[in-house]
Amino acid sequence: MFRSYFIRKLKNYLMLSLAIFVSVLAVIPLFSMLYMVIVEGGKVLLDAGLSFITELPPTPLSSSIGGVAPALLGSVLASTLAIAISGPIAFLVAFFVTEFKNSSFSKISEVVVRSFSGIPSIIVSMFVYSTVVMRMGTQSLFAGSLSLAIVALPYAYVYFTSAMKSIPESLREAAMSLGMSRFKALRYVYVGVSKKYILTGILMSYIKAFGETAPLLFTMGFLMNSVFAGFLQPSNALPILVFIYALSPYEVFHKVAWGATLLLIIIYLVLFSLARSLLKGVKL
Amino acid sequence: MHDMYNMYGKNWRVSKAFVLLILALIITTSSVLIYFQALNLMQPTETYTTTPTVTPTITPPWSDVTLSGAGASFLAPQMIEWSRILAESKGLKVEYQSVGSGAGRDMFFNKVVHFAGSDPPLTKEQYMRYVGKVMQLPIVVGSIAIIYNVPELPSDRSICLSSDLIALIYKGEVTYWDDQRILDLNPGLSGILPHREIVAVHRSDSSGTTAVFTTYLNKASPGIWTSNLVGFTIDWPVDATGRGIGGKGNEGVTQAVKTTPYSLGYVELSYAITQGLPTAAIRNSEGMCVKPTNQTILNAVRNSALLLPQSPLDDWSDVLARMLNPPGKDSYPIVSFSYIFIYRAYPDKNVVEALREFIKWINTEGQERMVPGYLPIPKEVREINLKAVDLLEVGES
Repeated sequence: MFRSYFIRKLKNYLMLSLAIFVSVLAVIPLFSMLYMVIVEGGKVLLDAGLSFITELPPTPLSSSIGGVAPALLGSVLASTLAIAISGPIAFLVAFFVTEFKNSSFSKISEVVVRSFSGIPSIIVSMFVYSTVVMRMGTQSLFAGSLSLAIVALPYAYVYFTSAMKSIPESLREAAMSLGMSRFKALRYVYVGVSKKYILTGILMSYIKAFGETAPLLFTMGFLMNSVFAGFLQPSNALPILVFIYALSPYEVFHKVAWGATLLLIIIYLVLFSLARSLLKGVKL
Repeated sequence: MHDMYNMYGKNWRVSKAFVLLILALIITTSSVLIYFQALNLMQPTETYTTTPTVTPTITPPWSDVTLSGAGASFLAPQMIEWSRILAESKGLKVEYQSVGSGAGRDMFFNKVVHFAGSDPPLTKEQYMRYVGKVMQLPIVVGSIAIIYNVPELPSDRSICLSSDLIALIYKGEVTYWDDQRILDLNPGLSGILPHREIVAVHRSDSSGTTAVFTTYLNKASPGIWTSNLVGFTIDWPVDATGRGIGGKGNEGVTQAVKTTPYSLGYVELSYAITQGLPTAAIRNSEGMCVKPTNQTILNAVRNSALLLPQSPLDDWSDVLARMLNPPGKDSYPIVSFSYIFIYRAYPDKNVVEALREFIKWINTEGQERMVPGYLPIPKEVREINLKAVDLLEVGES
């Protein structure tokens, strides 16, 4: 009896150490990547200081690092616009699908929106290129935002659905029994109850849009000689800048790419921890 | 009753919070916008006062035009350099995206961008489709270097390769660095070159560099490198032997050669220069081993004694092959032009003015502002290009 107890203990320890080992293994690449970016990008950010977010990107013969102003502004504007477009659509679809679970329309839209997340984002880029960019005759911040909106839509939808599902059935019934219409219930009860989930959803899809490269490749264009050219004019984005500058042979370009990567990660971590802290506060 | 009152009160607070949040978002976005707009406005005024050639009272016709271009990644660094100088000295805005020659052409022919950048000129077939409508201007001279990684080779000694040898290596038929055929060409290196397998690195993506490189091999060694092995992407025979590696972009090939001992690859010269990799000398058409330097590349362009087309509207399709492996004892054999394509006519008058200024500048002053690894085009070619300034017109493109 003691033997079997010992063996069980041993098995437990073995499996436990295996699990710890595997999870450390999984985390190592992440941390080594973070470490690389912080060391390399940190040097650049410290070196350039605040001018890194206010100046124009360097040219091959530039002696100074310059900055990423057009890309930073382009990223912020494009992702904001993208969420402004996809957020309300995703929210309404999520509301409809959770409220009218059995309608065939909601079943179809559920499948359609979820399948959006499986589309490779480069195809979204080609789609917006052939429908919007070619018709407008130029790449633009607007086209880039549309592309990002399509990519962010399923993410926003998933978050909003879980927000809607987080509403206790009792509150739903209470609202109905007071004679509220569904939209009144949404306006006065559901939004209030799930507002933190909704905010988290907005933030998470914003992060998703912020870090995407492929949807912008053919739609956004490139801008590096002025900070902002207009909503219907080509613009720039941090991931595009990193993509193009990292592939060049010039040292100064590589530095900017490292700095921009660190900037992206900082923005990502800030928004992500904000979203996490919002979720933590949810109590019912 | 009491509860319901309370509930509405609570929701009033919630919606107030939402309204405040949205207000805050709007305020921050607009203040950021205004801030950057102010930055934007500051930059031209600064330079206007420092450049005497531009009088602040007359705004040039291109001031509200942004010329957009897309195409070859090889041209991107030079274009970026030029566009910054133009923006600062003349207020002419040019933006160039590095998307590759193929994608750039597609955007150009779909009229999404004003001009395209391309390593090879239009093929005869494509030219016939756009004859009279599209102008091709060679604007920089580029060159492809063979880089290698042989740890045994001291940095002051360099290896010499012939087109036959390069072709045989990429066909997988010359296997070892101490192959007798390599030693015949490099008698001083016998005993230094190791008995190691050669790893041949090539581009894995569709690339103008590959097109130029394979055209060179086909022209200089047609018996070994047949014409079915020429193009933007090809099936590399060396891959079948397991000694071939693909790299994405010039950067990928450079990295692969750097990190793989006993490898060899072909890249644009600027990558070899900036990454400090040794470049092979190549045996030219007169049997001399020549390394790629500014002088040997310029010699090649001069000596090719080209019967160049006399107008940007002409067919440039065979210039690529004609320039490769030119005569001359001091000519480096793998040189090519990179082109920009423009339409002859654009509907917008300001775009036409901006393009005229752009073409004029890059063929005069711009040719003195070259980035290392890029060489200016000869005088005769500049004169041909400048004809495009008068050919440009307002109209349907």
